[in-house]
Amino acid sequence: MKWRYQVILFLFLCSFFLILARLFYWQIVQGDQLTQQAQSQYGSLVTVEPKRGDIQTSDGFPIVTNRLSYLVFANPKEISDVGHVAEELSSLLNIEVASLSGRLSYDGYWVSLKSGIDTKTKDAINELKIPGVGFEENYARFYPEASMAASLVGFVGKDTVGNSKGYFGLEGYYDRQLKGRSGQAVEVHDALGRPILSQVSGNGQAQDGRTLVLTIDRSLQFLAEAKLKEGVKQFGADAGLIAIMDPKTGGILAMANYPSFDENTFWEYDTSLYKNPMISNLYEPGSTIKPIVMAGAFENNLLKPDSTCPICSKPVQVGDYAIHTWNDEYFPNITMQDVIRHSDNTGMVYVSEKMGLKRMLSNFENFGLTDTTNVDLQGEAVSTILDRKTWYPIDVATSAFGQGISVTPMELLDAFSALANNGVRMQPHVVDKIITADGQTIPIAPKKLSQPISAKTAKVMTEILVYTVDKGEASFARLKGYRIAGKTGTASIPVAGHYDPTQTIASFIGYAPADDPKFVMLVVYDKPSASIYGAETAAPTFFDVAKHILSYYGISATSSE
Amino acid sequence: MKITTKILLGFALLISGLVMTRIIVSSMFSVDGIALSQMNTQIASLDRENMILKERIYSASSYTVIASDAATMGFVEEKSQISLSNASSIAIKQ
Repeated sequence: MKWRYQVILFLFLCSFFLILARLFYWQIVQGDQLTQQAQSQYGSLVTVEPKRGDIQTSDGFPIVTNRLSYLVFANPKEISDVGHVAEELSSLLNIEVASLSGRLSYDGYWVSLKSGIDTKTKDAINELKIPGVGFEENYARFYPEASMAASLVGFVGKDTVGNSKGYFGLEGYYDRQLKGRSGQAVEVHDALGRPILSQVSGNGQAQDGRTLVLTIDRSLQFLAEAKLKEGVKQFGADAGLIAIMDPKTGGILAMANYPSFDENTFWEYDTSLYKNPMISNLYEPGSTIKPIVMAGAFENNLLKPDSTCPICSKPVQVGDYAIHTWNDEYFPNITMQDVIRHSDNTGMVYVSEKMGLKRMLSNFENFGLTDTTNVDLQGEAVSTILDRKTWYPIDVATSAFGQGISVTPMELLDAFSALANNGVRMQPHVVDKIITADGQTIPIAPKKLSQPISAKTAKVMTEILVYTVDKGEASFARLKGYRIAGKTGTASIPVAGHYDPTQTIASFIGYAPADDPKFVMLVVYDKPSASIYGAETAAPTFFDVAKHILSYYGISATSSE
Repeated sequence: MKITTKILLGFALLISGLVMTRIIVSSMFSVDGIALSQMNTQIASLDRENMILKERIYSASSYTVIASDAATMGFVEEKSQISLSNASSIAIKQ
């Protein structure tokens, strides 16, 4: 009898090991594959797309948000009267009947008719109750202020695999923050297909993108864009830009350029318009650089505001070149404050001789003109300052009045803001804070970049710039009763190795109120035809915009003069 | 009753109890699932409605639209501004 027990025991053991081996195969070897098979049997895997984050101005208004968008599709097998359906959909989808008929006659079960349609159109199609026509819901970017700040914002396009991706401006720079994270959800159902429970798979929950709150003031942005458009047309310029910054924090309050593009239909515009000229275009700053150079000379105790220029009675010869003033008017023994007031090139040559190459380059570097500002926007160009060994005396002389060196408007604005902020240069930035999907706020603190000059030198320069506004070439446009510091600029454009006297970049840069600046603003017109001078084009626009900003901030005039 | 019969009866009762519990719990979950699904549908519908309303509100409150409406209604920009740099004589007397 004993051998029978042993046989049965052996058979049991064999069965046990066989079951164990089979379980090992199912659980370990084929585990993942069977899990997927099981999931597909008892539920359906759905990819949950995140909502892209909003971009809000400082008042919390979204200049970029999302709206519902639909893809219209059809199952041609379910459509009996193709001609009739095509005719009905043609006007709503704005597609020709023949084209629609062609798609609806396709021998398949799914055909796309049009993407990106809005809710109103979707409802109108729904009312037709056409069998075989359906919708796929998704999100599209929505711009409530139309094309406001388009170059600043950038746009959302597709990457090489068809996923949404931000390009240029904020959409490009903050793409990872804005896009969020997609998730996968499994909807579980019973044998009859009724939902039992919804659960999220192990791949993680979808997380919506973060919202950017900008330092941009919507009112100032709207004002700057309207005035710039008006100015470009009035002065017959090819293009123009206005940038306004808070010198104390480096926060950009407005950044407008014209012409620009519409983010909704960006593909219809020339690609050169996608670039933000404020950070991507290099230009010779002309006379707007003079206060920066003069401040350097004061800081190094080489000159004082009442120092006189002994070489300013006639054109100055530097090597083979004779340097003239802009209007060929000369002031013997002109003081340094009048050099700035009259924008005297010969006076600036004298300043450059006092400074010398080493100090000139060091001054440009201290003011941040030799490097990017690292503003939080995509596409910032690097300024090109020649290597020290390649500088000739003529280069040193011309750089003192803004020729032969190239900067971006952003670099110039940031450098000038140091004069307005007691000599401290702040990091320019556009995003004030980031709000996460779960409501947490991440503030972005203002950052000090450098202090190229002392507070005392900054005060002295401010007084000279106020004097320049009150008594200089643009004094006709100034705002009476306000102390505004500023400087005109008329930079010739280098064409084929020489400067074209008929084509200029006209600009004005300044800040107000001079004693406690609330803003520093740069106005630039590219090739204005009404007048080539900054004093007659950019300056009037500057003071027109400044008048509105001062009124907006509730700052009244301090005197009647 | 034999002890083996008692054990078998105990097992039978336990199995019956577990089966009943499973049926009740499954039924509850099944109903919850439908309710949850309905709630999800309702949430999605409300989300959709909110997005459409937000789109309308943002469009209506954009400066672009307000400026255009203001111009249509005849509002014009005030070109001159009045500011008092000194106290007026009446204010000094008071």
